[in-house]
Amino acid sequence: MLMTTLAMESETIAGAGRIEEATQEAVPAPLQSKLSIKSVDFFYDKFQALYDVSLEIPKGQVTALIGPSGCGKSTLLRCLNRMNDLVPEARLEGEILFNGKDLYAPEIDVVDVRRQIGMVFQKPNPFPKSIYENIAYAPRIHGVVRSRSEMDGLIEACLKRVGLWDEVSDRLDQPGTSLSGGQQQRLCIARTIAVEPEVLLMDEPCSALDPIATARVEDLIAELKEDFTVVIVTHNMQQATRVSDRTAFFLLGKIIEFGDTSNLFSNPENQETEDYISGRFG
Amino acid sequence: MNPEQEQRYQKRLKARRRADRRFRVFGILAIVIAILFLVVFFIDIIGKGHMAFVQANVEVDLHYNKKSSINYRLAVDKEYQKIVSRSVLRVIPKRMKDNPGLRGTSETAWVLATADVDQYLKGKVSRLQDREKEVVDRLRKEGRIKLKFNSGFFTRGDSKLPEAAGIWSALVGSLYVLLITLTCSVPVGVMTAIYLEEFAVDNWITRLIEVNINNLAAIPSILFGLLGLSIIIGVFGAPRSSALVGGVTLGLMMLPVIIISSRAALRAVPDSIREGATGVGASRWQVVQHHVLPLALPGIMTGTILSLAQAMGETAPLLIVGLMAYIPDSPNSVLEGATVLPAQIFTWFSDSQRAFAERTAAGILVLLVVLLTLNAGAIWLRRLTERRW
Amino acid sequence: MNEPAREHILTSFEDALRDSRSSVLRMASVAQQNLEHAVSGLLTRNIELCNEAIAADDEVNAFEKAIDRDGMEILMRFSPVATDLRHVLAAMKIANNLERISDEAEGIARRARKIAKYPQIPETAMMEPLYGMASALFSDGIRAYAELDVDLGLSLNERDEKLDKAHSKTIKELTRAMERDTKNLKVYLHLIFVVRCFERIGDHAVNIGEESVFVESATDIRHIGAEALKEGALGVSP
Repeated sequence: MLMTTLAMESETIAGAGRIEEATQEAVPAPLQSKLSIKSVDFFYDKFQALYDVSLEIPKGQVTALIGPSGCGKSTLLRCLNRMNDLVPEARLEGEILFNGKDLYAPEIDVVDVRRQIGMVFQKPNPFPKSIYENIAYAPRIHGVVRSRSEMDGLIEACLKRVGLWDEVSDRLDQPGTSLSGGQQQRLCIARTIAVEPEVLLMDEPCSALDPIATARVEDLIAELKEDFTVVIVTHNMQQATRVSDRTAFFLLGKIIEFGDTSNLFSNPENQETEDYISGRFG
Repeated sequence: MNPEQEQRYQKRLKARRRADRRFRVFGILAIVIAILFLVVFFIDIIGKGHMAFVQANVEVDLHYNKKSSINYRLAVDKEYQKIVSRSVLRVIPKRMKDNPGLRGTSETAWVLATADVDQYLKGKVSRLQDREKEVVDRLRKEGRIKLKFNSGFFTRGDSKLPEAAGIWSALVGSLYVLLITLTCSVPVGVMTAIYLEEFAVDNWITRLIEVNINNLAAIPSILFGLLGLSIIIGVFGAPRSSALVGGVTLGLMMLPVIIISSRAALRAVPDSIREGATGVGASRWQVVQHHVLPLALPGIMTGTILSLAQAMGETAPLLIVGLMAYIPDSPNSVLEGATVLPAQIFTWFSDSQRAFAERTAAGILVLLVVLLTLNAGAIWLRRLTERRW
Repeated sequence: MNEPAREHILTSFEDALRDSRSSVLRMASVAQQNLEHAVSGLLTRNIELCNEAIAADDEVNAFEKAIDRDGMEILMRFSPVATDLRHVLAAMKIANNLERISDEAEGIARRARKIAKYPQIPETAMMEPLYGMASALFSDGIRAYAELDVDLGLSLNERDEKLDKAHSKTIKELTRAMERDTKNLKVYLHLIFVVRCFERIGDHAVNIGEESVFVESATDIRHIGAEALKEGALGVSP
């Protein structure tokens, strides 16, 4: 009894809004919510991947999703820009609101969703085209850029934004695949932000990179936070502590704990969270 | 490890090395045998066929007069009548009719000799009588008869006279058939593959279609011939023996192969590319058009060209739809009667005249060159379009 | 959190944490012994015991260095989080407090050796109750750490205030006695310093208790003040 009251007290001291796992009662978040996930159940055919997940993703912050393999964190991430539409037999119940509008409403154009909610993948996957074309692709298919000079400017701006301009400005016509892994991943980020999405989803963006490249990408994430809302799935808990403002812990398709990253990692409320983050799992 | 185990381990290690070596030797042996077969085949074919590329020609006086316009045999002196090919003589009346200025003149010209003279000069069995042989020997001494490069083989159509028979109309026929096959099967096959691979949902209908496509690829080709006969000729009334019928029949036959190879090429495109494009907001068709198809193109083209090469060599279904007709003049349209290379080879092969034997071999060589060219083209196209990712 | 915590998957991590914890406890028992020897030496004028306490301080110092080194090693190797991180931090801080306690014990022993050169004065006996209080605080602080007993850890501050009062009172009495008995001035001065030592030992014991509370409940109760503690601002169960 003493323990629990103490733990509750610590929450008050830190001033963090939390979701009590047992009651799913949302404490009003102090920040404006960009994406709000409301009681989402997700199925791959008959297999249920997510159970009653509710989460408020605040605007302009980095939210990390952690948990063991198969816990549903990547599935949730892919629900956020409807990448799961590509999976046949996939079904979603509940709702996901983006700026207050239902992402899964029939009148929503999925292409538009993906322009506003961009995604960066685990393995750097630049298109097998030139560096220039990699970034030019999305603005071109969405028809947002009119002239060549406008495109040149946009490409320079995007490459500068991800800190790649100095490294590649003299070889924009070379294939994107000729870059190193870390550069490729930053190119993929540049490619995604070229159409100015509001949200960036990152699915383990550093798992294929060496520590230096990882540090560069993490540094970039911290910078991108100013303009984008970032949701990042990671297996690397140190990474979650380094880059994220808030962290959600998933286990077996359920959200176990969601709160301030520093709180969650220094004083988790839930024993399962504590076991997982401190390496006592299973 | 104790010493006993160590000993066993060493023994086993040696046995493993022996097995490795043995396997390598088997592999090399298999390759050597395959190459040996190929070499024997080529020596045989080239040995038989190369003589067809030269042909006996004879220098004679051609008389354009009233007699020869009635009986074309009389256009040459009597002793040459069995030596000069009928294919030369029989056109003389027509030439005179077309060109009246020729009437009453004579000209000395190198003309085609008969197949018997040709065979005699090449030292093969010949039906020439001794008298004729004497004439030929004399002419040879005078230098008025010799083996010249056989350009007619590549420019003429089929003929009942071996010396005048050429591969040209069969080549043209094959080309027409190929074009029809391409236009029938490639668009349909590739679009089907794209739909099945990129768009179709996995349900029992698509699975049924898949199973059927796979089965179609395994159906004996002769059945496609019967299909062509009963549907394309019987129902749609396309002219028999035409390149159109042959092409559509082969196109149907190639369809499953093209679908399967195109699907394999599409499947080889990594999903990360599709995800990347989808992730920046490309629509499904844009994903396919801008990313998947360019990457799969080399594979699709290679598969298509290889299946075309297979179609090129296909005979059985074409026999059924009548593409083995006797075609002395190359067809001018896909609706005219045509023959194709393998059918021509078969026709010559079954002819009783010995002089056709070397033409058969030469025909095979031409077919092989065409197939090798197609394969080389496939490799070249692959190189040209391949992109790294 | 009542269920027994599961072990880490990484055995070496589990072992390192256990080792660091047992090092702290062993260090505590050495420090406790030092204090006991020093105080017995003082009360029984036994120079032998005093020398022992002074010599054993080196052992405590070595312990502190080893615990700090191991703690750094754990931080570097295993990047502990949550309870584990608090355990490592607490071990290092408690080791620091233990080292200071042992220093105080050494100080008492050195003064005891000097006092033994002078004639015995009755006020020396005033040290015993103070020692009793400080020693109890110390061993309860260690027990709070060993058993992760939050209630016990929280109770130490209040008890330390009693020690503080006793300490002021004793110093006043000693000052008064010193005025009366000026020829033993040096002995009184030494005793006043010994009293100060007990007071500091109490403070360190409270620190140890606070660290124990931090380990178990992740709540930093330092410098909050007695009133807040009493009012249950920390959520002590009613």
